[in-house]
Amino acid sequence: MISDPSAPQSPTDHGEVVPRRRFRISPVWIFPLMAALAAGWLLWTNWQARGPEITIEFDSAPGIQANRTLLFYRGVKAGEVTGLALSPDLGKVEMKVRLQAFAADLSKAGTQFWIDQPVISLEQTTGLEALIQGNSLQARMGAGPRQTRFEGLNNLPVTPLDAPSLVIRLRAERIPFLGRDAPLYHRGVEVGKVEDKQIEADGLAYLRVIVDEPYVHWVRKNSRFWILPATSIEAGPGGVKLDVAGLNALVRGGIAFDTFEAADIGAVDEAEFFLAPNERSARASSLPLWVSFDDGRGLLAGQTPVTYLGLTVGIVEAAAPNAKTARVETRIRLEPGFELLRTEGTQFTLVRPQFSLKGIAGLETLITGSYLAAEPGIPGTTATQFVGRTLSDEEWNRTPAKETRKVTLFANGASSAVVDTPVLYRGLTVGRVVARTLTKETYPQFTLEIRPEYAATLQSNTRFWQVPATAVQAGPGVLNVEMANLQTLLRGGIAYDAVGETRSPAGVTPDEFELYASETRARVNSAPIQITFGNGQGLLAGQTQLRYLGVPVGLVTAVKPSKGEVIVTAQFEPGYEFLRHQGSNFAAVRPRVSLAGVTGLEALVSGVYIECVPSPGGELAQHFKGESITQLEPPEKAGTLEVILTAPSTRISLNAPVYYRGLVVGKVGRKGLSPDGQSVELMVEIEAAYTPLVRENSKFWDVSGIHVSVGFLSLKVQAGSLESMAIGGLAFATPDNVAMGPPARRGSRFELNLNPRKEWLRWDPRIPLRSK
Amino acid sequence: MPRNEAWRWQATAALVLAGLILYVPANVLPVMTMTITGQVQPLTIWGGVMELYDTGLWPMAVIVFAASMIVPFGKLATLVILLWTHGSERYQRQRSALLRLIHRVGSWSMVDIFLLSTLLAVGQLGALASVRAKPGAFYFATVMILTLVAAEIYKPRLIWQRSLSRSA
Repeated sequence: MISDPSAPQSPTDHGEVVPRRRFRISPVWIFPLMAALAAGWLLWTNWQARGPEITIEFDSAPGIQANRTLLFYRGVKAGEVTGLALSPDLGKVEMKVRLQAFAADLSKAGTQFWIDQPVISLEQTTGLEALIQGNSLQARMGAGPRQTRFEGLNNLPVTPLDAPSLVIRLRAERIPFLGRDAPLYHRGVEVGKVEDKQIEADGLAYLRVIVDEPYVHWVRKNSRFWILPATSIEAGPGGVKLDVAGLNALVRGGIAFDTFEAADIGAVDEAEFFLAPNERSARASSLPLWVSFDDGRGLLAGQTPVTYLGLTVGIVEAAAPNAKTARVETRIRLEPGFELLRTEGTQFTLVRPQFSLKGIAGLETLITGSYLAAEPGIPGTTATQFVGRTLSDEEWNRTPAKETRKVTLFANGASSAVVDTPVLYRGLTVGRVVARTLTKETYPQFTLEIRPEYAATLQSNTRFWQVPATAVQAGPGVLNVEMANLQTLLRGGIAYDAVGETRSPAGVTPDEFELYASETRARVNSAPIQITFGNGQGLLAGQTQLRYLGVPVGLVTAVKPSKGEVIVTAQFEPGYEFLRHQGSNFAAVRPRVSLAGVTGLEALVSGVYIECVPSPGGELAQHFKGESITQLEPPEKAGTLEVILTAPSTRISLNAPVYYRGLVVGKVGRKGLSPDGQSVELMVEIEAAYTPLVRENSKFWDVSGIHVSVGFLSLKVQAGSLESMAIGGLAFATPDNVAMGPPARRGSRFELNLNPRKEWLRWDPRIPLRSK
Repeated sequence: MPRNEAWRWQATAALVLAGLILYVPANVLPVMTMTITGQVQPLTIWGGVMELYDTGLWPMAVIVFAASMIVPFGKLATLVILLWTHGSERYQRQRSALLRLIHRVGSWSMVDIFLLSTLLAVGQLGALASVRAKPGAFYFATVMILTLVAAEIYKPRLIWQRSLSRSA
């Protein structure tokens, strides 16, 4: 606009040019205003989000970078490392951390900072995320006044999130192998962790243990703590006990606690407890008893148990010689509930192994260590001082040999039994060997003593066999370690039992028996059969089993090669005579490991065995022809469908699976050349249930090996199972219902294609399967 | 049309001023953060140039430096000069040449933003690496848009037209 409309107008006078007011504010100035506001707002929020800057000292700062490493609090970013410098004396790293405003409380005194880095050790693996994300700074908030200088932790704290709810101190003279992070268990539940292990001013070792919040109330003032060893093998009068507290504890050990008496008030923070070396001494909490011995050999403070009726009820806490009395004074503590052993007249006997010309006594203590056997005295009285005695032959001698039943055994081979070897009847020691001599044929001959009360267990069909010191028996799925008991563990034993059905009345039993080498041998008593094998590999006399449907039913008693064959003599246990019918089949099952699979796997563990397949009837026979197989064929299922595939050549081998929609529905049963030699024929067996799937128009193709297809944006690698890579595989598809054709018949021929056509893969017929 | 002319001058000046204000946060704030294996690395424009240079990609460094530091600053400075000399009759030829240059260069001014958006799309590797745009990029883009609009509003004829105020 040039002129004011109100100015006078005339053709010649165009009016005067009036400059308009020059600095009229244009609305476009809103832009710089908004820009200024935006920039200002940004500065303000930035300034506001900044919390205080603190300095943390560390011994070292691995993997920390200024302006990159973040501080996390409970996993949330709460600050950033802004600077990293060494202290003037180069002894520390001073890390400057700018906190965010919301995390300003992290600058309270007592906040703990540590560097989160991966720890991978046998005992634990933590900070895995730091492997990928790099090290970071972590914090646990304290509660003091604000400050700006902090001392960083050089280790990860045990409870990273919260301050511990209850910290107790466990004291012991020695604390072997337990350390930081060792678990604390209460009745098998992990309820805390060891935070620290130290020697305090008084010279005793201490553990600081953190108890997790939910379990705090289980720790009572009278709770007792003990060390759970990583793995303990405990041999006691009751046998050998192997304890593995858990994989965790297997490596680290642990601490357990429990309250054995009435629960006291809860423990307070920093409460001190005694850490017992084992559960037994933790349990033995009664007032002490003192027992003196004239000879303290075998007494171990803190270990020797006190037994009552064979069960551990206490422990010898301390043992020391007393110069004045020239006796060994022991201090004993009993578990609660055995006050009857604190009575006058209680007899404490120190049992330890004794060898003398007369024999061996207290033998189990060789393994278990000595123990104190206690017998209660007069009820109602109380005593604390006792005079103990040590074991003597008179007291621990066996029953007098008056009324015992004497039996003579003849062995056919070497025998490890010696005088005093126990005689067992169904696991019970009923007698012992009293003499060992040689027969005229220079075979060992034993004289046994059977206690009178067990004499009736001897029958005419009783058989004796040797119990080896320790028997390890491996079978399908089991590894059975037999240790009859501690005595037989050392010396073996002789056991007997009645074999077979017929029993003669007691009293008319013979006095002479044969001693068999093993129980299995003793139990097989049928007439021997002979099986000829082409190869005797793995067949061992006295060990190889005969099995029927997987159950051991007999034993190979002899293996003898003759004229290019191996003749195996075997015997059945009673009741399996039907396996001797003419026509029974015997097969030695051996393991086979190949790329295509492992078969007969149990034979790997249990050794070769002979599987018996009885024939339905016929006469009893003595000679059989055996065969060697690697796998027990499951009995041929009726109803399988066999079709024949032809291909110019193929890599598919025997037993290769046949897939339908990825499911194995059959296998290749035979592979051979066609009669004219022009192609390969595969005989495919389809399982009975799936036979309707195969139709006259079904298509078969090869799915062996790996298929790689490269597309514009994709690389597709298709591999079947490992098995199909090794021995190949087949797949087939059947056209949709209209076109599928009639069901394939036995012997139908199909072509084997190298690759499926695309439309075959889209076929989706509905075919009712045969119900099984 | 003098009103138009005055408005154009004012509008250009306002936009240039807004651009100058936003130029500061655009350069101070990180335009993006690269998180590689958990290490968060904020990059300002200058930091990006240095990063490229350090990794040996100096031709790229030069391009980014030119496109994201020289060009926006040059445009703002040129516009300031043009606005300052508005109405003067000296160096009119050179001034209009400058304006043409700004127009021509203007079509390249979003190269940085384009680069960044490509990086954003490509650099998403889950836990291993990720790229995120940061407010700096927004400010930078705003600066570029402001200079573009400003250069568009300030027509070449304004250089040749005699200023009313001066002629008066």
